[in-house]
Amino acid sequence: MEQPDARDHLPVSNLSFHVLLALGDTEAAHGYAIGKEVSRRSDGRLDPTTGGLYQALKRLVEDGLIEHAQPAEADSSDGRRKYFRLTTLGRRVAALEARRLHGLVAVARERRLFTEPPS
Amino acid sequence: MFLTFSTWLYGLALGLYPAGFRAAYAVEMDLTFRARAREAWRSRGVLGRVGFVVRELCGVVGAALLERGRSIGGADERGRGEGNTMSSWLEEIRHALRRLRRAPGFAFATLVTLSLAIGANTAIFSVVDSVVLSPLPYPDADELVWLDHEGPGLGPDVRLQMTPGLYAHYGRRGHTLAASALWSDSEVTLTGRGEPMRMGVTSVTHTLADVLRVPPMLGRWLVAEDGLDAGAGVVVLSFELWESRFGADPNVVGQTIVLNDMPLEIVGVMPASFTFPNEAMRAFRGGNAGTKAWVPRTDVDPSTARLSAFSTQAIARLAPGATPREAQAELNSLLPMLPDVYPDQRGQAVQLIDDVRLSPIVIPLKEHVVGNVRRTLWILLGTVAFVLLIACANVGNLFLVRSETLEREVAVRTALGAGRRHVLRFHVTESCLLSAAGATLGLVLARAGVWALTRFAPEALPRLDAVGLHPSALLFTGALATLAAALFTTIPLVRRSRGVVTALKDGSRGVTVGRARLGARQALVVSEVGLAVVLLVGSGLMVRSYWSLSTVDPGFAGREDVLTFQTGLPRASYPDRAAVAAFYHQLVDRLAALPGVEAVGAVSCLPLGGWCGGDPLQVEGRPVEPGVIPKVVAMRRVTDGYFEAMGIPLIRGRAMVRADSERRTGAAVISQDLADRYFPGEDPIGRRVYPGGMASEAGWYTVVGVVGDTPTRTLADLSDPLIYMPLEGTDDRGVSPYAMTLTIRTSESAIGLAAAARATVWSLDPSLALAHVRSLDDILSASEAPTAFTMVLLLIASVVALLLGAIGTYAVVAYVANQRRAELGIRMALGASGGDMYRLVLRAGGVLAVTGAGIGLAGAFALTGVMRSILFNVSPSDPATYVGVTLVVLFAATLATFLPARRAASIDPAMALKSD
Repeated sequence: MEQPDARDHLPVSNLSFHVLLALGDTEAAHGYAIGKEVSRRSDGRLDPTTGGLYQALKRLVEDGLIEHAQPAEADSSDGRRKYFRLTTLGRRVAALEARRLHGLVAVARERRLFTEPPS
Repeated sequence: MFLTFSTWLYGLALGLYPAGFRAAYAVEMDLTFRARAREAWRSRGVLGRVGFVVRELCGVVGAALLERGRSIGGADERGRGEGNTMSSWLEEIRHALRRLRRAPGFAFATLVTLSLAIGANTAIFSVVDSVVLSPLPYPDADELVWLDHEGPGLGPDVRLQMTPGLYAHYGRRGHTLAASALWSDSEVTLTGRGEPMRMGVTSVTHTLADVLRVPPMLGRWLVAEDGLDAGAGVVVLSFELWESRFGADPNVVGQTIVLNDMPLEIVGVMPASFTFPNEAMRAFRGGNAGTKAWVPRTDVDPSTARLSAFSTQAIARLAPGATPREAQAELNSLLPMLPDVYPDQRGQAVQLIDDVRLSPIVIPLKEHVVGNVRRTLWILLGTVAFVLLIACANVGNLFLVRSETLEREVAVRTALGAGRRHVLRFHVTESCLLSAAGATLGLVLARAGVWALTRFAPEALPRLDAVGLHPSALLFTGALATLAAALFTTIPLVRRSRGVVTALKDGSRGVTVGRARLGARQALVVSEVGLAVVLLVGSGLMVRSYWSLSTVDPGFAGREDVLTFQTGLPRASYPDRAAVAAFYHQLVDRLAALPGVEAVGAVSCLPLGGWCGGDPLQVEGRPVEPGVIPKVVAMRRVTDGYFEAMGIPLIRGRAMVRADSERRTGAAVISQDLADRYFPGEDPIGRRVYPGGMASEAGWYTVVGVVGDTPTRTLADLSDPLIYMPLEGTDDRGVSPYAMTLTIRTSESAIGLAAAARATVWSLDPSLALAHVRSLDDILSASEAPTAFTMVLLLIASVVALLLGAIGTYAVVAYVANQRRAELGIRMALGASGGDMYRLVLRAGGVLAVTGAGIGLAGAFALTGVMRSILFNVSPSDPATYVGVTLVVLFAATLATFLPARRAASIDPAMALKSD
């Protein structure tokens, strides 16, 4: 079987990218936590409905970017919940997408469409 | 409430996903939704919550449809190339939504009309479904039958129920019955667990377990050996009693409970769902407190069981394959053996067969439980179905108008090469969207409606606890919505026969265009008005019924302040009648001493409290002919002061006095009805009567007075003759005085007296409990409640129908007036006055209304016959109702026509002619 190429998955939709980011630094998380993280990270600008969120999660699972996982032990309070974590492919796709966006930001800066926000 | 409902709705919407997706994610999505909903409830206001729910629901429905589209389109690549069909449908939905947004008036009117009609239908259907259609809550409930007897020898329609002797006989020899059970209800006082409480107890044979097949939740059910040893009583608790008085203690089995001063060992607890015979069979229980415990009954030994004690009830489970009819035939064939089976009771057996002409009746248990209510509920369902028809006529009308607006758009599409399928899709999406939205809103309304119905429904409605929005109701709503969608799709398609070219050419609306269209629309309005008239007549009859019921003179002064409550004495502490009588007399005296009290009395059974026991009555000097059983009369024990407290008028002679009981004088008071039947044209005072079977020298009573009639069972029938006897009579036969209802007439608020009355009872005996504490007014209202309930529902339905009919008339007349603007303008220009315009338009509406009303009146005349059994003192063809309804309808039609007429009268001829 051929190694799946991360490039085939680009570009990643906004919501999917946020899901990948949300899973970036945790072991595994369930849908509710992912949804909260997405909403928090985007300052509430991106607030998917439960239906939309699970649609995205299901596609990401089908595409092999994330997978079902056992919960981290401290967090295993509810056996009915499904947990998700990034796959290696997902990690690579996220990195590629970040690089792609970074490239776009560089172009925007070059064309003077974007200046650094004051820190 | 809203949170629960939202969660429920969300769970429902999850069902839209394909099975694979559901299996993987539905549980988790549900959990996530709940968590988010709780969060939203914490952090947002009412509007925010509603917004959250709407958004989530749209999200889940949209995602589910997409998911379905993908699974139909096959395993495509990441869903980017969805099935062609699906995406163009989605496209079509988007277009339809946009179109509807441009026509908010149309969308709003359609939605409101449809959701009201579908909501009302779903709500009533839910009640019919839960009460009439769904099986009783027992395994294989269709095998359960009710055993009863009729006795033509005692009179028509006499239902005798069951005796232990007959039960034992049938149980031993019948083969069509797999199992049968015998029971009777009584009330006892529970002591030793908090405040004393009056509660219902059912004394039942252990075989009930074989009949109903419901296992206990804790411990065991009764067995054959229970109750044989008099010193070791056992009891099975209901879930409710276990929860309320035993704190749901899991180790309750083996503990003791004290009922009527008798300690009983608890052997089991039944599950919460088990309510026999109360909740499921409420119809035939005259407002008794629910059964809270079951005790074994042992009077069914085949050798000693009593043959003519008709005070018990029986149910049975049919043997596999047997029908109620076969069972009835078999039981009938067993009757002739009775004299040989019960040689000791041969006389009674012969009398039952020859004189009473006893005949067993076996009917399905559900039929017995649901009884009369079935008809009322079907009438209600028919009523709301009428409302739905009217609503569809109105919406159909809206669609007709709309199809004209859309005609050009469709024609353009066709001209550009859209095929038939495409055009069909165009109409289907719009009507489906509206029907689906109407159904969803309708479901919300239905849920509220069911809640309101169960809250305000009369207690007497059987199986009230089973009423709810069940899956079958969802199916029903779905079917209604589909039908509506199909209907509304057809309308524009039929209209499309005009063809593309005509539609495109037809740039403006001429004076004469649309005659056929107008005809269809007028037909719709005529049928609407007709249906509304039928409903109005129905509810008008109900209003008349209710009115005549509430003006019935109950024979007692019920609308004044009379407090009533029941209490009962345990035999262990009050061993004989003298003790019982002494207690009640003392209680009456103490209550009479309370401030504001004007009169006090006690009775064994209040008016409207049911039959409550009675005996055949013999009159001295009139020998009973062989083969004739004296008519049975209802019997009441009363103290002195009862008639006064109740406001029952004394017609002749004197009322009961204390000495009648204390000296056992054998005085009796009879009702006017009894006097009329037994002593027509004679003076009953001083005559001697004997209540009971075989007259002996000692047991005769002397009539000392005649009082006014009071209803025994319902306000609608006043016909049970009554005999009143003192607490202590000539002997201890007849109705027991152990449980009595106290009646207290006060110059102040009746219910305000309750606390003082309670304290008074406890000052005499702190172990007694008070039950059914209410005013006479409450009792009267409760007995009117079923009629009031039906009346209110019918009234609501017919007012909605009238409104819809008026709106429909208005729409059509306004349309006609608008169509004829040019013509009206010409007439005005030629010198017609505003008054002429009024007349012209009013006539257009008038013709429709009169035609509709005529058809409706004929329809009502044909249909209201089915209401005969639920009407009281009103004929289904009551002329006053018909005339009143006609006036109301014509008035509404005039109103609906008035606005367009006024507009027509104010037409500026120049403007009207220019506009075309």
